Amino acid sequence: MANKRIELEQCKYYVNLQQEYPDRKTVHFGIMMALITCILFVFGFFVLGMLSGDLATNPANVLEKPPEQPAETMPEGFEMPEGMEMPEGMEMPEGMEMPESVPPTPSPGESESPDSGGLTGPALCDTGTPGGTALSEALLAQAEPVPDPAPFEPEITIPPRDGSVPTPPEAEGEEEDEGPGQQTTGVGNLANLANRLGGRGFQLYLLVVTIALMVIMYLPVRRVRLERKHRK
Amino acid sequence: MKANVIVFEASVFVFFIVFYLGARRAMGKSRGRAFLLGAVLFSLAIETAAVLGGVKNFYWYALGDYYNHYPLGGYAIWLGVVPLAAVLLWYIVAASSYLTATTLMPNGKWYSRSAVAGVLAMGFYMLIEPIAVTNHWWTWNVKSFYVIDVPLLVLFAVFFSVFLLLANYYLTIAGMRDIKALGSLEKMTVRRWPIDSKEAARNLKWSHLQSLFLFRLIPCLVAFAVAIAPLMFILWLVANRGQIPPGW
Repeated sequence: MANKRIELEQCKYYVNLQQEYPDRKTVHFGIMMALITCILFVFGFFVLGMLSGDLATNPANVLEKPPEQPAETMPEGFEMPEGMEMPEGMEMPEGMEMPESVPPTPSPGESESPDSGGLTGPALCDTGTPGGTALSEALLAQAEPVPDPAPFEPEITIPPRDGSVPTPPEAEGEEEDEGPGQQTTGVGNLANLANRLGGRGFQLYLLVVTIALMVIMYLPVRRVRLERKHRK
Repeated sequence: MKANVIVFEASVFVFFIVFYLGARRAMGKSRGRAFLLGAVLFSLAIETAAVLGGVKNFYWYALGDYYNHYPLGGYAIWLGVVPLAAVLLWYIVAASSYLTATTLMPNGKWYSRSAVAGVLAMGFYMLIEPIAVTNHWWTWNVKSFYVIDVPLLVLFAVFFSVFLLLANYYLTIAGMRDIKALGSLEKMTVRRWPIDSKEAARNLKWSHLQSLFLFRLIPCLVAFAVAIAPLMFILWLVANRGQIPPGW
């Protein structure tokens, strides 16, 4: 019993001698199991790092914004161009009003107002009646030519399925002339490292750190194995 | 396969289970449990403070809408504003550093072992951080001095946090020592409830010792803040990247 107590004293930093009297082999096995798991964990991170190589080469990647879902409401401060109508299902945000020049979207079955512009003319011709054609021609003749609305091309960012990230626009709210910007340069930028050594800088960095960690983690494993052999 | 956050999260969970089973054998069931609890609470407190203070965020995967765009989704389990995977990752790093330092230095002092473990933990995060920021597992917002897009502050923070947790563990759980500097504070607080005993730490029951260990995490957090604040200020002065508003 005394011998066992002395032996356990040597691993008092691992186990609580007041509560537990584990077999020394169990302690050694536990250390080896945990540290070998940790070595595999480090290797797993190395693999994940290798998979991230193409992202790391993009200087703007780190500060990239996540892709946004198409907004249900109009963004703040956004104004509809003249002649454009709100698409179905889209709502105006609170406090915003439609410009006066934009006609309200008619509900199904509601007739168009006569001064609604040339764009609605052909719809009246669809009645198929001679009267309808005459009316539409008269209205078309009365209608003043309306300039074409400015082409509206909403910017839609679609996240690519392959995980690569498009180059972002200039960071909003960037402080000018006040301290450092939001983009790191030189040693601070990961892409600089990644693009060095023929584009293998990041991989080499990961390789060096991984090997160093694995060697350090292997040392206690080796020590425990030797101790076990000596005990035998 | 990409280094998506779900790959990171799943691998952390799997490795955590296997690692914990090993650490439980190595440290003993009760000590292993106490270490896990202490590490989770300690890292959760620090990470939560970092997120709420605008130092760090998990913005990319904090959006519910993001799941609609990304077939593999984001973090599955959150502890407030911090994903469970980030906390467990810190536990794995701290516990493996502890096991390594203790095995390699069986006769070392508590502070030298804690310091070696802290340096080793820094090494782990030198591997993890660049991969994490590249894949947006998390993003650093703080104005500081960055090296390969990782704030130097983070590496110091990892060192101090691991050092303080292990110092507490060595002194309270393994060494069962009383700390004179904390004596009066402990008498006024934890020694009244739940311990309700004025006996030396060596003579306390295991459950009381565990309570004392968890209580001492609070002074550890204060010590962490005191240690990291001047470094934060110095690195703020020589910053090479500005503050990014959290959530942009």
